[in-house]
Amino acid sequence: MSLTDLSAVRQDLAKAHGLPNAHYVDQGVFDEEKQAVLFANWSSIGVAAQVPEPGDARPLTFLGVPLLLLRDTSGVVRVFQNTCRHRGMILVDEPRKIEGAIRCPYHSWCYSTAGKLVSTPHVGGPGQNTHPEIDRTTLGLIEIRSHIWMDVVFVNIDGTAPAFEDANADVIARWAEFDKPIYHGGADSQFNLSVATNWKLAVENYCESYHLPWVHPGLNSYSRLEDHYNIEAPGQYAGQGTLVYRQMAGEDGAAFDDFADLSDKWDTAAEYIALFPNTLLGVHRDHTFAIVLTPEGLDKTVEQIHLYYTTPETPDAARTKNTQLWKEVFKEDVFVVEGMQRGRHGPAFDGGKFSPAMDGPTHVFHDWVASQVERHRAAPHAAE
Amino acid sequence: MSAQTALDARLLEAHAQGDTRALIALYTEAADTVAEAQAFYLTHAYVFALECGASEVPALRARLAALGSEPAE
Repeated sequence: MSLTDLSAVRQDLAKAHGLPNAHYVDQGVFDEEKQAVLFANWSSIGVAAQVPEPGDARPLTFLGVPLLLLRDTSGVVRVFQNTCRHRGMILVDEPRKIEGAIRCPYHSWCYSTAGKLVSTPHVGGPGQNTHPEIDRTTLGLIEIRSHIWMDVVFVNIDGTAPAFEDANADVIARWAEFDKPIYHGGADSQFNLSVATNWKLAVENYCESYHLPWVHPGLNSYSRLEDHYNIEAPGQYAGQGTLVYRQMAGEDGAAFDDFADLSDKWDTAAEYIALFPNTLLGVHRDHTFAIVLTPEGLDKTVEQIHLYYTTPETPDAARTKNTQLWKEVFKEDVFVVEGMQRGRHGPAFDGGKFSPAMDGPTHVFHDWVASQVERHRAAPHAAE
Repeated sequence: MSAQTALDARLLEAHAQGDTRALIALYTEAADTVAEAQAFYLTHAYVFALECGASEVPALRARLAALGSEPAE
């Protein structure tokens, strides 16, 4: 694989071009970004609400890595490599409740839900379950560094990122007023969209408001382009905000409770931030949402959408209407992210020319991706 | 059918059904029946007890520890 030239991406917004085509259509670059961008930073893999009870376990694959998301018996959400320390067998094949220990289906080595190796049957011969060379204390499940924020489960696969709270201190402070309990709306408040696009294009489209009047004309009636503002935190996150959010209500007039003690700004403001690399978040006075982007290949991404409220119980009509509203908006974006993916097979496309006024958030993301790739290339392992 | 053969059949059926609780009881029974394979069968009872968080775990573990098959507490 020849290394892409990222110098144009690193220019100031007015002079910059977007990431080269290869970052969307070349498997070698995808693999490079996997390490440099997605494994080296805090990537989201799901939400804690997917394992609501102690013992709940959910296997998943993130860029080929088999992971096990579970809530241990003490209630702590953990992420393990879903691989037995003995022969590398997959431990849990489908979502289920772990009643006691995780038993490997191959030779029945058993692990506690906290990852401790608790049984090694016949490891010293039939009926002998110990051996001097088998130190159980060093053979627990490999735990992946994880962090929960806004109920999203983030992992740092390669273990090199700064602590989540440090890496994301700015956005945590920005949304400190929303740092209160949130409650997943349940089965009717989550949906997946499978899109034929590179994961980055979903981030890029989410970052900017420029497309809203054209792609989401339904929003024009109350949320015009001039009511939006750019959110740009170079090196950290990007997105957009609106000044005219209208509180949701169902046909019966019932609305959601607001977050307590919000400042006046949030009466009508809402913000939508892409937390790099692959998490899209939205906050409003009465609900939040999280979109976990799972790259399933160079040009295949699953968008996992979860809606949250301020109370465990919410009005059914308003909740289902809110889900429907967001589903329509996100579906309207599908042709765009898929179209941009196809467009990047045009060999003469040069990454694109940004609008200095409107595309700042997108450039912040491109610049960050480029910085991560360059950092990876500069590290000693990249030359090996 | 001998008692041993009958026990084997019940064990196979419990495996086929994925009936972990039955497996705990049957492997314990096997351990009590076949003295020379006591540790082997107790190990199986113990593993299935661990898997489902059964109340038999401490007792089975203690028996295995007494046989030198599991580390002492």
